[in-house]
Amino acid sequence: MGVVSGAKRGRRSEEEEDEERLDRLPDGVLGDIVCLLPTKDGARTQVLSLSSRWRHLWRSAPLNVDLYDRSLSRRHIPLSNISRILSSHPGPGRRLSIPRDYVLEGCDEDCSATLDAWLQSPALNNLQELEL
Amino acid sequence: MASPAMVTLISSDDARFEVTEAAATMSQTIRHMIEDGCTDGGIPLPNVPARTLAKVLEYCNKHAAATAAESSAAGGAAAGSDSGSSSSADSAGKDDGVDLASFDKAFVEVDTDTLYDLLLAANYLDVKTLLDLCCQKVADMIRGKTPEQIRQTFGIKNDFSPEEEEKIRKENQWAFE
Repeated sequence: MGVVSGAKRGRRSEEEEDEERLDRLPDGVLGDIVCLLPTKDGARTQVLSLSSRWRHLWRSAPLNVDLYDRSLSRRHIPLSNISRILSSHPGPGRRLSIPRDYVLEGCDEDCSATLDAWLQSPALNNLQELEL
Repeated sequence: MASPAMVTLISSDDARFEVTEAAATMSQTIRHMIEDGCTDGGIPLPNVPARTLAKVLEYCNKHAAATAAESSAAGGAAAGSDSGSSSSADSAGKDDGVDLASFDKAFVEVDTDTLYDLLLAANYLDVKTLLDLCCQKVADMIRGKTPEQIRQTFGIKNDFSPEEEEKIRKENQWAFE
């Protein structure tokens, strides 16, 4: 997976202008798009390219943490990763949605303290939607 | 019935479009121009070519007409005293909702170039529902794909060195598991 497609770099010429139009959309529009993505998909846009703004878009767009992927009808991020997600984003937050079975599963220890810590992280500043 | 107020829009390539004010003012940018009285001789839109403007106006006409039909159906239902006419107005309203959703879905079934043009135009013209629709379409196209697949779909050039990309992947390991 970690292989970079360096071979493709050489063969871009007249196609180039048309092909990179997505990169030329205004930051606000790209940010809106990233914001609509499920959490993992959003974070993955950071590696799309360096010189364009993708590297920083995810971190600058409000964070959307939704632990339930409705399109796949399954959980897609382990509970233990939430703290890591929250610490890798500076905020603000758009949405935090944690399905019931996550919360129950995670409650073998001090559930409310953990939740408290999450809600106090800068990543969730100005949170617009909270769903538990 | 009075004929609806019309405005003329002029694309970047000098094509003229005559549309109802209700459709045109779905664009906040145009609404502000009309409010400022900048409509003499048509409203110039130097950032939007005719091909894109025609497509945007197709969207605005459809949505403005649906809004008008909805409010007149609601008015009719409220005014009508017999239950027969009010229920038929209700069902017409519902059909419009379904119709509009399928119109929207079909509207963004376009090639990526057209989609970018629509995004740029919707952003410049400030047609919020169209911008949201197009952003959602792009998000749907990104969702579930690997970075390689996304680059391919949207023609994004990868200018990371393998080391740089690996570093960011490591920092965000959870997103790649």
